[in-house]
Amino acid sequence: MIGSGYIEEDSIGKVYDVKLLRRLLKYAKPYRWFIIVAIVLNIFSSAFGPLRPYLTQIAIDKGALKNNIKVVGVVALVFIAALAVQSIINYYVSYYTQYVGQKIIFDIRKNLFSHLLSLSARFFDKNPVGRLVTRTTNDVESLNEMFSSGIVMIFSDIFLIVWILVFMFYMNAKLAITALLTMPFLVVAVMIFRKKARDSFREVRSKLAKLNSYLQEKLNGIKTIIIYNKEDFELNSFKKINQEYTNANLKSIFYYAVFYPVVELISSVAVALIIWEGSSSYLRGEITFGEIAAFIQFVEMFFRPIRDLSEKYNILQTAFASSERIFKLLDIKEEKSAPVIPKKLENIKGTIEFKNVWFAYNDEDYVLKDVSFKVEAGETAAIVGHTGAGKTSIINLILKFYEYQKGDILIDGISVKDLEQEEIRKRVGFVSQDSSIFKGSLLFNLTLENENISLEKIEETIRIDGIKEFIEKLPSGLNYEIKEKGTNLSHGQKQLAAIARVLIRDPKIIILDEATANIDSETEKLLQKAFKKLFVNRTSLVIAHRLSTIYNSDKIIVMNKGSVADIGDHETLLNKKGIYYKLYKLQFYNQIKTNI
Amino acid sequence: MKDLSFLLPYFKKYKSKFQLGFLFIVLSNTISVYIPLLVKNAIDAIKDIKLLSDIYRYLIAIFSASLVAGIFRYYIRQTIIAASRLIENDMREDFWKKTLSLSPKNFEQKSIGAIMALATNDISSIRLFVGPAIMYLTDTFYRSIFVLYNMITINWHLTIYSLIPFPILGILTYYISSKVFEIFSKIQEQFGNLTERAREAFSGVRAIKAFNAEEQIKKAFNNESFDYMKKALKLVKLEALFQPGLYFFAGSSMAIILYVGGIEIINNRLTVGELTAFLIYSFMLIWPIIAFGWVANISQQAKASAKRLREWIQIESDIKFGSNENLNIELKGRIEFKGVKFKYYDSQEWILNDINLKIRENKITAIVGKTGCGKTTTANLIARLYDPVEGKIEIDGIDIKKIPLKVLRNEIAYVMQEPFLFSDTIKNNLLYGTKKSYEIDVEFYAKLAKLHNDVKEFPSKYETSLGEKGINLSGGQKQRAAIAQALIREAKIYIFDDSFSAVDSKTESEIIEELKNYLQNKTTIIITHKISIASKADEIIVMENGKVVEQGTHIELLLRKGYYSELFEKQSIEKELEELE
Repeated sequence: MIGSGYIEEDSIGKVYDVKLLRRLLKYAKPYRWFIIVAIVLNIFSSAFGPLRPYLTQIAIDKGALKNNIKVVGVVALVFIAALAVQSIINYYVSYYTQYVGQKIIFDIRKNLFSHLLSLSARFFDKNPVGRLVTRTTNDVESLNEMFSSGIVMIFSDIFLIVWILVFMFYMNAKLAITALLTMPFLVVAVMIFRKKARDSFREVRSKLAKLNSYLQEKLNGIKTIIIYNKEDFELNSFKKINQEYTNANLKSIFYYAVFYPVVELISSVAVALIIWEGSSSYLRGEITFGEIAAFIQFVEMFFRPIRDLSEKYNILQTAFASSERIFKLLDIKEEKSAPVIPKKLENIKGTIEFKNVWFAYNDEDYVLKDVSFKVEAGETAAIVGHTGAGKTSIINLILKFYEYQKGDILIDGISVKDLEQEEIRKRVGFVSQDSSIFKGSLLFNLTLENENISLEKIEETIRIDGIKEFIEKLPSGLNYEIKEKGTNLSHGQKQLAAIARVLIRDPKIIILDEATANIDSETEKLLQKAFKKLFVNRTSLVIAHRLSTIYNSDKIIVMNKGSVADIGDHETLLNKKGIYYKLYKLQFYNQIKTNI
Repeated sequence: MKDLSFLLPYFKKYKSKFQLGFLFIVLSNTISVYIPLLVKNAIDAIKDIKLLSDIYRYLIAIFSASLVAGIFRYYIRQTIIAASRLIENDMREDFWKKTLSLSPKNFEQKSIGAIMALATNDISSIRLFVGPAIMYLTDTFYRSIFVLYNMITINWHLTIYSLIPFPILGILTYYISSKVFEIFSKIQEQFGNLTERAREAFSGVRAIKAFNAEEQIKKAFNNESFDYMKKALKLVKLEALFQPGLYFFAGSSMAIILYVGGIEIINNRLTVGELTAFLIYSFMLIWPIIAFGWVANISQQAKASAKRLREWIQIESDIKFGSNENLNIELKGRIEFKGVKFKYYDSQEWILNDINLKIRENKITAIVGKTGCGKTTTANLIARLYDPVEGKIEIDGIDIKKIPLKVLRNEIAYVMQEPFLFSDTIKNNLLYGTKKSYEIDVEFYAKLAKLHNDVKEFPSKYETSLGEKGINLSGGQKQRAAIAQALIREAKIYIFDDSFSAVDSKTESEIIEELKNYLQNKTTIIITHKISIASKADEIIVMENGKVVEQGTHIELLLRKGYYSELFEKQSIEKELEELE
């Protein structure tokens, strides 16, 4: 199984390649026309920026200095009109590119979530839920910034630079070259800053990570600190880590403090150069006043995008780090042994048979050893056994959460291996111990929005004894909103909901892992009523924690350390005075006492 | 204001840094505002051939002014931003100092995530206010004043015209940034919903698969995700509006300058140089307007953060430090509960309901009972993790509230039910509770706790790191490490709360033997489910529903045929089951 392994956290400070970007851009493909239009509009609208100094020049040279008020007025109007057009275009470009960015994020998130859900139980055994949640939420989120501001801004910055160059050279090539004389200095300054700022940014990030993980850990272990009187000690170790973080921050101030003034200084040199060169050109009559004024504005305009490009680079860095983690998850491919010719369970009767089944979660560490038993159609079989006897594994195998190594499991005589997961899960109803309740209405929890469930079936189910009273007791019945983690339902109520969820589907086979948690007697009565309906006319396999379940079952499968120790009915097994007798006394001790 | 005034002491501490910073702001602005004037003079000099030789002087002046202003700018950051980082440092330290002084009850009222958020998000947003926001605010304030002054000096007429769009700009900025703040919190909330959906799906993945409900759950997730996108797009729309709007109004100011200025030139009331200076000035005024909007927002957020932080820092720990009268007391370790009642703050039921019991010094006492009967709470009260709601606990006849907290806890070595080891070396973990400064023979104690043979196999023995960057101990190893940790502590009272549950029965009885030997002159309390352990105690206390129901020796309790003998019977069957094969 490739990739079911644990996903390692990667460290910051990697060199990212074009591959990653190319892969990210694939997600942009469906929106390519949006993007192309946005880029074209961007090319167009960036021209308006340098147009302004150009207009200034005309206003001065052809208007003000020639005593032509009309030209001044026209230019001012054109100026405003150009601004308006540019603003409108910019609004649309900015909105639609960010819109595309959001769409892409939505798509990536959708893909990732759906991919993760398709992975096996084994994958979820190995990867903590918290980490998977972070990947689908925070990591995808940091891509957002790249798509919405990073990429678009980089394009518009580049176009702006190009347009300024075009205008400058069009107006006066000599002056343009003069202005550009400072360029190498600016580029060098930006590059040095980018490298230094990135290094120090990383330093800050890693110190922050250290600080946060320290806090997280100590808060988790706060009681240990308290009982061992280690408050002073921990305060001192915190001071050290905190100081390290502060020092990293103080160091990074230096680069910013130097960088911005240096850019200003270079730009003032450029202005001085233009005036210097401009003055001699003016004397030779090669240049006008307006052009000098315009060039000074060009310089101001030119420096901003170059300065900002370095900031954009940081956004890309963070996004790449996240996308790498996301792609790592998306790249997990599991070999699924799908049946070559999948069989169907039409007209299912519901016999379940285990034939010499061997199963291990890892390697050769068998938790089921040569397990064989048969549950006939319509029978109720209870599985009993001590902790670790292999009860849950039996359930996991029938539902095809895992694949067994040896032997065979048959449903109506058909090997589970020849059945698709969906086919089995369609026919087998499962009530888990924790009942898995989701946030949403009770109705949502019952149907899980399965379209094959008819309204009649829902109505029929909610009239079943036990279920009926349970729903009636809830303030808004079927529309009752269940909170996160099902906190506004009791254990018993959750199990009732889970039973209703199965009944609504009316499967031929039921698998039930009875809850061990304490259930109040009133709810317990409702549960007993619901069970009656649940077990009738169905094949049921129950991991039994209730005495009543044992009494009502047709056969009992006694598990011990991964093997079937005995099979039989309650009376016979009890009379053998074997393992079952002991288990019975152990597990049902309190229930026996109260029943007697 | 109360919330922000909580920041005052921090400002005071770095008063001189801020004062210097403000001085630099004034200086750098005085100079940089002068630069457009130099440009103006230089341009005007071109026109007048007589003045041409002055151009070089102007150019050198432009360069030097920009250099000097730059140096001052450098120092602005080095003073104000640096001070904000130092304040952040102090604030975080104060936060942690306070946090360490709190009791478990305080921690139950706030999740670890929320406490972490105080130390990270909240302190960061305060920092943003204290540093950058204050810096930009003062800087832009001075800059605006200087710029306006210079504009008026050149031509007050033109100044007034050029300022027409600015009030609109200011209102727009303020309006949009407050809207952004509002939408932003909605987005955060929806992000929370999205996160919860993902968590729920991943933790309930088996049920989802068992019901073939993948598609529906995906749909539910995508709906949340879509809703999130919709909310995010609202923000996008505002932001998309903001930038172009800003440029439009700022640009229209330039158009006005061009038009009015052009006419003024024609009327010979303005030079080209002055017009250029004006254009540069109006450009310089855009940033202050944006900054004001931004600062208004930052201070809103900082206020909310300061409120949360202040509330946390002002919490009083419910466990008081005890009096100073028994500072040099030496405890013998006789513990007595007198009518002790206890419940957790959010619960209705009494966890301990009128407990009266005596735990003898230098003996081993076992406490047994079902989960939730109050065993752990009893131990927690002895260590004063909580105080009783009613009644009192005495050690050697002294109310433990009258014993200084440090003295009391120094005499207790408490192995908690879920021992917590830090991601440090094994050695440092074992030594965590020690009060001794000299070298301790860690191996000796590890042998007592039957941990040594395990550690021997680790790559770097006792220097092996635990946790994320090291190895993970098994449940049993963790328990034995915690036992060794407690033994190294050298106390008068030892408490072991279910500390052998993951240890196999052979090792368990070996450890118990070692403990009996080593802890002869100590008061030892062992909380357990196991009869095999309880039977070795000098005295056994059985608890049920917050009450002491049985007390006596192993034999006495077996004869009483109560809960204890029931437990004994059950565990014998269990043992038989274990031994089957």
